[in-house]
Amino acid sequence: MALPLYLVGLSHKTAPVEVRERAALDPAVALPAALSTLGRAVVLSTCNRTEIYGVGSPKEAKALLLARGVEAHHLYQKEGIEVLRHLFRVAAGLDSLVMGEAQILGQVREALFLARKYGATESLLEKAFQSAIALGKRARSETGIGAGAVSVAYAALDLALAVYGDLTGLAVAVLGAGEMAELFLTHLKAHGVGRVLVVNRTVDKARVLAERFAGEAYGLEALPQVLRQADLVVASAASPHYLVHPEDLPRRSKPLFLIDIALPRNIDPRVGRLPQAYLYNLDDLRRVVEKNLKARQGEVPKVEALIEGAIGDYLEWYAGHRVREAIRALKGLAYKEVVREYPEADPLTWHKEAGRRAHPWILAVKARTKDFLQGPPCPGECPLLAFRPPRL
Amino acid sequence: MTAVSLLALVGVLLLAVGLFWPRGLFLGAFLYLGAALADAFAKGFFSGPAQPALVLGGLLALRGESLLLRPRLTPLRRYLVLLAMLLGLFALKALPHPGGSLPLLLTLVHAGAFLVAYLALAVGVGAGVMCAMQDLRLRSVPEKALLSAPLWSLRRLEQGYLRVGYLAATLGLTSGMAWAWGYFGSPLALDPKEISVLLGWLGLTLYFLLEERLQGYPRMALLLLAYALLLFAFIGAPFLGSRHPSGLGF
Repeated sequence: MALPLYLVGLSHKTAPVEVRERAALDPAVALPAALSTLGRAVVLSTCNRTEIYGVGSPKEAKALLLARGVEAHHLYQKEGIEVLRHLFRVAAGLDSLVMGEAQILGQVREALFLARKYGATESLLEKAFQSAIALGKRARSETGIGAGAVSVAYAALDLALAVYGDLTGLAVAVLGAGEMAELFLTHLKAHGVGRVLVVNRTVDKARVLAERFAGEAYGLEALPQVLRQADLVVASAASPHYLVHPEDLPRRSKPLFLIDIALPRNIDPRVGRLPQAYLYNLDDLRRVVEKNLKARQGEVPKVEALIEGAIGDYLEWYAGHRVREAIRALKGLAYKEVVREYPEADPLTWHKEAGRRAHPWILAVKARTKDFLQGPPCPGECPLLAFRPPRL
Repeated sequence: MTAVSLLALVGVLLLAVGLFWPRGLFLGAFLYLGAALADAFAKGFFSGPAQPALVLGGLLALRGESLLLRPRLTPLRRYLVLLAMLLGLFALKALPHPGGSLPLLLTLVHAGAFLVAYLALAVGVGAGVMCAMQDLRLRSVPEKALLSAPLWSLRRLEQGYLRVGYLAATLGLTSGMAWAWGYFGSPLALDPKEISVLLGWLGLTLYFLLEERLQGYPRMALLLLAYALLLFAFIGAPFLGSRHPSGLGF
């Protein structure tokens, strides 16, 4: 007997963003409605994919996605073991836009929780998703599929850690007050940097950003003074010429880490030749990202092996599950037949009978203890200890 | 083979095993120190170069063992263990040398200072070379720098140990020259040990003077040259014959 699982969905590999937008199911409104329509199903809806995993026939799931304006050629459909393989690949990050990214694991978990909340899971789906979540964790801890930075901001952070080891208490200067500056500051602050010095042509804009990170705001005229205090410099200001020159940097014994992500660049490349200065631009960061992605690609066979192992485990469980279900059905049938023939053999009847026989005993105990519980403490031997229940 | 030599030999073997089995480092270090103690009771304290070599080797192995929980410093740990093994082999060669007891003050000040100097310089130079390599990686192939020990951690390790090593070497050198002046009538002679120590010390002095200007390969080369000269003075020069009591007279 084949595994009765199905999958219908679309992802960044089969559909452009405008189609994915239409297919996405809002977790507050559209998703509960979809789950109540589909019955036994789990819906994984992220910015890169909308997938419906279910048990039984995929017709309704397919109709649901087509009704949202998705064309049939954008959809893929899988059944049986292929559903498991796909789900495990998704949870391990092999099917993600950025291979090995960790966010998808949380999204798979969230999809399972939502399905549970609306009572849409059943044992096959529950087990499949739990196995997928466990596999996703194993893949990230036992292989290098999630290792290394794959975004420019994280690559910069990794380089800063390669220089300093620990960023706690270091002073960071940010040139510019745009989105990139904010993104870098968020990451750096999460790693414990101490002082935040924001330098911008417009001091008011610098102040807004500085206040968010409990930092200090300066105008461009204060740049040399700020550079003297900084251990890390992130340059992202819109400027047609260099803002930082080698002459602006004092001789120092501690390293100075500089990231120039502005275009045109903010920092004169000659700064990188100073003895204690480590200067990186966007190309350097992209090189780090590419190398990490290549390294992740090399880990795919290891993850595939884990996936095949997890599929084997699931099928072992499924074989036992089928036997258990058959035994349960047989027991149910036998019970019905027995009760039909001998109504007094029904356990429910036993429970009623036991309650009926215990009732006078409970009443006797209540009557005997009523005075005692309401009155003062007994002076001599406790009457409760002498109490013997009536023989039933 | 004497019992002391046997202890030292087993120590060397345990250190070799310790490269793969961490407990071996601990056991090997204790055998080294035990062998040095046994030899000291038999011949007198620091009577020849074997004892300081065993003590230094044991302490280096223990320092290597203490780095087990810092995987990014594995190259430094391996280098310290290999150096300890080299010192053990040198001690095996020097142990049969009869030796003789030295004045207590000289033993404490001169030999003690050099023991501290060699210990600190071994760690400092190892960290310094790793630091220079990390500096080169960060400048030319930053993607390869991500898995190595952080530059600033290495630099702090290097600076601390090298400073202590340099001060101790200076004390050892000046006390040795003072003793040679009193004993032989001249503080310095054309002796391979004395010349190599002096050149090594000058190399270290130059390194500290140019510390902020030197980067990359020149920095690494100067540090290694100075250290190689000092190491040669300890385990190479005794074989060439020397007026120093550690001369093995081969």
